[in-house]
Amino acid sequence: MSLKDGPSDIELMQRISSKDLSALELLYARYSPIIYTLVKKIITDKTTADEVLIEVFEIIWTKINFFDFQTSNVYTWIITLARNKAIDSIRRSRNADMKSYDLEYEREFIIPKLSRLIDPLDLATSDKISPTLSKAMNNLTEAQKFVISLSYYEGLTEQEIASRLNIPLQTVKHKIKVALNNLKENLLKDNSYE
Amino acid sequence: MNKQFNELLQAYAIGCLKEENNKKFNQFLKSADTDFLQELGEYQNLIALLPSINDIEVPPEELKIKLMDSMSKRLSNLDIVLGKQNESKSIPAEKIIIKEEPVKIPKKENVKKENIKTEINQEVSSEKKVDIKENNIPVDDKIKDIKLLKQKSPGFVVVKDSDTLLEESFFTKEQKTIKFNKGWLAAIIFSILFIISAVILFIIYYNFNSQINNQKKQIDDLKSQLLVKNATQQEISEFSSFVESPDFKLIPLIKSSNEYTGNCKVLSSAVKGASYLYVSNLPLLNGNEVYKLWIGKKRNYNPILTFKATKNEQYLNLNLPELPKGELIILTVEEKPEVETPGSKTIMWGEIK
Repeated sequence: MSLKDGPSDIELMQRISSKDLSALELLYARYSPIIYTLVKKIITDKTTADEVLIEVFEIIWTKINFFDFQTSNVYTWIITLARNKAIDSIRRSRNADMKSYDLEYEREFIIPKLSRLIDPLDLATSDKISPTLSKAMNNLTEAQKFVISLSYYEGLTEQEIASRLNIPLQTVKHKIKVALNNLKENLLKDNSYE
Repeated sequence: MNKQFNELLQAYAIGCLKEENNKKFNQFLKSADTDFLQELGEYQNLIALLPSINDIEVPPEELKIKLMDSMSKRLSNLDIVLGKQNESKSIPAEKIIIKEEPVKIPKKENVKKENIKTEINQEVSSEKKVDIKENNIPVDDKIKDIKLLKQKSPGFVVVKDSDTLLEESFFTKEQKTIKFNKGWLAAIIFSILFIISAVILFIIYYNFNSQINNQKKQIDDLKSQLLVKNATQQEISEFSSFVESPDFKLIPLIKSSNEYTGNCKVLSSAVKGASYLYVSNLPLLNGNEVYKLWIGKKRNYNPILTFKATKNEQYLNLNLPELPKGELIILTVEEKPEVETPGSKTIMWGEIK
């Protein structure tokens, strides 16, 4: 039985909200590889990456009430949460003046706010789409891939990207917009992302 | 409104907005229209797919163990907290009942088989018949225990004397508590409240007192600082006036030997009626040795100052309102402070003109 069999993501989340530890264990078994991959791509220090992985699941456990069960999209919520947490960690390591990490900060900047009308997505679908997405990424220009990488994996803001590349802010905004539009269009050309 | 946030949509989804714009966007989401939310959802899903194109790496097993261990601890802590809450709610006052019920008791000597009214402090759910046969403890032993308990616990109340029913109420091992009489309970509660109040008052008093003491100390410190500043200010002012006086004299003392370093000058003003010796960098002397300043001429000198040098610059008052013209000032090192004529170690000299 693969990890993606068994209870659905949403069932696991419901059980976690009832403090069922075995559900968290299942969710960990299911999502930890992709989260770990993402976190390690963002954070090069292994110890910190390990800590962040654990912290992500601790947030899932303790802040499950912030998950909107109506969206039925556990995948995007968890991936976005992991990305936000990892980015926060590297931003803190390079900027000592950041706001203190308290509950309010976590609610505002770490816990994802997904669109109420987001389509459901799960790990199995993600695996299925992955090759097409990879192809779609390769069809982007180097500059477009670079701004996506800077913003998503390095956690730079638009202003920081503009400073890093020494280009105007408006250009950065435009490049991000176009890069993501193109990625979406490239992906939609294939039927697998429907 | 939508248009403004439309421009930010992709940047929000990928997470590269500045904190303030991110906050504004979060606020706007609450009132965003359907089309906007659908488009945002598409981008959020698209971006969440990005990690899937990397080579997936499975985390080490120890991380899972660490997480589960941490979560188990949290859970058990939570249970303890909830358990305590339940415990405190377990027997509310309104659930204390007086009931009359039949009790099945095996035929045995010294054990009565009858309905007896007794006051039992227990939960509502315990309203059931109890067969002592089911209890493994011998009835006689139980009776002994109850009697002992009655002796030792004055708060234990039995309305009608019935050992048999008492043993039932005591040994059914359901959640029951011994009811203490109200006066006894009130006394205990009152004592506890009194102790708590006393402790709180003491803490408040102690904190208040510490604060006042701290403030007093700060005020004293400030006063001393102010006094020092005022004194310094006065000294500076006096010294300026001394230096600017019309007959101010400055007599630099000349070294007689290179054995001693340092710099000495005599400052004097007859108008101000004061004179000082300025000293700097003179070597620190050992034991009883002292520096002595003398004034006079033709080997007839009078001591006017005895001092030990320090590491700092010094202005030493000579207590001479006027320096006699034509006389010499000499600085010597003496082995004893009380000598009345200069020894052979003259290290500096100067002439009063």
